[in-house]
Amino acid sequence: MDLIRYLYHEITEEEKNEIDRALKRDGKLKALYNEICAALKDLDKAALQPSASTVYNILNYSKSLQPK
Amino acid sequence: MIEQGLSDSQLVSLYQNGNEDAFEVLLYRHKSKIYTAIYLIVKDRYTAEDLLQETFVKAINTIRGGRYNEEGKFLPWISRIAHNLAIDHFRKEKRYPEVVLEDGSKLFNSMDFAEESSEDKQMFRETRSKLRDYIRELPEEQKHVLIMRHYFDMSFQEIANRTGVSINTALGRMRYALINLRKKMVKHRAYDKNVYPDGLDQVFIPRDYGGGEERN
Repeated sequence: MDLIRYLYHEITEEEKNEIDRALKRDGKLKALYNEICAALKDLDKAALQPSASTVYNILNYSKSLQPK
Repeated sequence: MIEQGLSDSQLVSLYQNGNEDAFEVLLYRHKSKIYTAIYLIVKDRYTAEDLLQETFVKAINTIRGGRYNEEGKFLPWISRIAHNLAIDHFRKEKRYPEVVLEDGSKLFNSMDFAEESSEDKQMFRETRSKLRDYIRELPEEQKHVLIMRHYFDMSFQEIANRTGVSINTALGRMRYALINLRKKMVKHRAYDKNVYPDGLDQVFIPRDYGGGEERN
């Protein structure tokens, strides 16, 4: 039973249903699920943004290739 | 005007037909994850900016040159480009020299990058910065699986192929990476009463699911 694949949507519908059921009846599994969800939320918070000048350079490069 | 709800695949098709707005949407949609992943590998924000630019230039050249092959999805495809560039750079440089200022702080921590512009609370910045430190402190194998899956959006099968391990090993590394990270964050928050005035929210990882000892 793999919560990681479940959370990243890499499982079949059948496996998903099985884990959904297990989460309802297995308190330990549910606790682990909550902790992993919290870690995943933290990972999203850790995301950075590149500088505006880098974004501008990329867009400019693309536009420079546009046929005249 | 481009509809924000369009899929990556639809945006690439529009871009192939010369629609620059479609490319802009793709860039804005994925720049943060790709940039973060590169940064976590190369550990330097200027280098990460350069490599992000190089990644997108390669992608633009491939799509514009008619060589983009829609076999997979756009994000995993461009992530492979970014990952290869970041790993090549990391291998060449091994460690980027760190510039330490007179007050002992590190140069890149004091710079004002785009991220800071919209966030006004320093304590949240510090927490996020700590989080990135914890990611970088993870054992190499765990850290790489985490970066490849969460930020580069590669499937576990692809990660297994690229790192030469079984899918179960890749999954195990991801699980331990997340558990280790969670433990470190909770410990950090316990000391940060300003951010978390209610105190420590205990991590409960059942022992038979990897709780107890920290596994590398």
